[in-house]
Amino acid sequence: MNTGMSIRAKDGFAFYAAAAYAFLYLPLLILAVFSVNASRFTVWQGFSARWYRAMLADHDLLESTANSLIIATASTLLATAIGTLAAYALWKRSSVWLSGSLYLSLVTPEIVTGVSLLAFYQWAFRYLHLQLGMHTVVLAHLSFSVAYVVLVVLARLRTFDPTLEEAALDLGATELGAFRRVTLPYLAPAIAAAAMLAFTVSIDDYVITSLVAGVDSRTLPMVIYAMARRGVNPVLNAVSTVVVVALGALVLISERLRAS
Amino acid sequence: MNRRTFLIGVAATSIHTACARGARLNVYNWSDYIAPDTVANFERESGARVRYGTYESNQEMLAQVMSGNSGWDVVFPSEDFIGPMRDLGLLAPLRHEWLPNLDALDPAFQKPPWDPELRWSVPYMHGSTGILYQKSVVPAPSAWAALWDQKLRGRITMLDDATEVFGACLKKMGRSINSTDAVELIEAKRQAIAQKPLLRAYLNAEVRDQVVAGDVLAAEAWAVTAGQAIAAAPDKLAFAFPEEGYARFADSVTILRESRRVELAHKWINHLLRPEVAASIVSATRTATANGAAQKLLPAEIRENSVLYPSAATLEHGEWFQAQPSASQKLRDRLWTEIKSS
Repeated sequence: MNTGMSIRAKDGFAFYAAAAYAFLYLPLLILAVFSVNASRFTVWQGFSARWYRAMLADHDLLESTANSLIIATASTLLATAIGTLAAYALWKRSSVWLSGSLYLSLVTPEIVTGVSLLAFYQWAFRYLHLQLGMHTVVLAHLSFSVAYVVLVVLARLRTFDPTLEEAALDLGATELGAFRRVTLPYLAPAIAAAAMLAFTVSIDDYVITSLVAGVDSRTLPMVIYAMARRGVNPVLNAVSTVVVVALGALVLISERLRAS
Repeated sequence: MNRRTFLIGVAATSIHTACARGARLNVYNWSDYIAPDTVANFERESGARVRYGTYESNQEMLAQVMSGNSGWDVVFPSEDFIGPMRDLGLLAPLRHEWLPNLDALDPAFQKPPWDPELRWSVPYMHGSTGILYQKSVVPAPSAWAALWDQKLRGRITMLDDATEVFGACLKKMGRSINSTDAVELIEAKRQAIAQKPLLRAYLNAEVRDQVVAGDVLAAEAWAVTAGQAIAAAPDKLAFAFPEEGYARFADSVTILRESRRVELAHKWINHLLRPEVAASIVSATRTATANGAAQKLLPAEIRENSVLYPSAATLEHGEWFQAQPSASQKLRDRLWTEIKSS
């Protein structure tokens, strides 16, 4: 079958693809390989699960993982709810200013967002007598997660036939009923995909979280970064491998749902 | 009120009381500056829970503490940060009647120049900045100028700390590390930029693993880091106190004014001042303690370690860091930015 490419070009293309994937995944592969290494240094000395055992025994690491999961769950639930409704509103009445300002939070450098949030919190806390903690981190994560959710859900909404909702209204449904029974089921895969994206982005975030986290709400990326600053430690390899595998699975599921 | 509201209210109040029970102390310290059981022992004796966080530089600590509402109770600044923090109103005055173990301090640290009455701080650990090097480097580095040696290109590191780098450059020029003279500082900047092509990186305590592994041949390092590195590879590494002079630092324990658990914080400081506690910390971390009574309890190989406890003659060449007046601090910050971005 003639695909229009010569044999040479096809080989070249395959090589290019292999090289691109290698560049992306070779470091992660090496990370994973040395996470089962018996030796502390990057010299192979046989298989061992000791770093995974050490990881599970590290109280700091486990507590920060719990914090990360709690924060991610809370911010995902809130962001999905707020973002879906925002996307619906933007679809009904599109406004360049509104959607532009929403996407601004995606485009702003994280350090800028983080510092501005910190300044805002410290100013507000003078009157509210609060301190930085899980609540401030959840709010901060909301500030960028909502934009991601709006992006995904709006894309799906654009393929939705508006006459379906109008037909439901004609047949006697209330506006809320029409939304609940007609639009929402159609959006369900996109909402699920958006939720997974928001979850991943929230677990992942370092810069903003490190600025607004309080004494008790350290997250997993913060602990990993602190460990990395103190030198080579294969426990880091173990943690990173687990995180990459878990998040990778999440992203795959999210993509499958979005495409369906 | 219906049943649902009642159940939610019960759940909320029970969670709240569970969290509020038990005193808490939030301690923010340098990394690798405590023994594995110190916190657990204090928790057992005082009945309070301790949250123990770590940082790698004074600036990192100050950035969190500066807001006046960071959540930390006890921090460990270096001596040149105590004055500015006190002036910013960040520190709480210490009550000596709650610190009966204060006389365990070494006489040399009972009236330190940065806080003669120990009103704001209690010295914890001290050290010097010098050159950590591989014994394979010949001739052995003995002066700051050795870190500008072309032969070691690409295998030298300096500390990622403006005051330390300026200190090294100023000493190389034969000046004081606390110089406020603009001409001297600009010349020091020129020296640092001339050194940059030879540098592998600016690294603090994290350089230790790289020196032990042999990737770095000569590093500007704190004596504490050097002590830990030499313990890991005693026949390969050595530490030199540069002959032009060097910087000395002391980290002290302070209580933040924002703390609402001042008495518990004093208990923590008193606990650290106990000779056996200080001695156990030194054995675990290989640092030099300001606690004189603890020094007598140390094993001989640490007590006589010339890196951690140098002779009085060597200490003569050391100079304490002082807080800079704001004009020269601004100049140093600007020059440091120029060095880092050149």
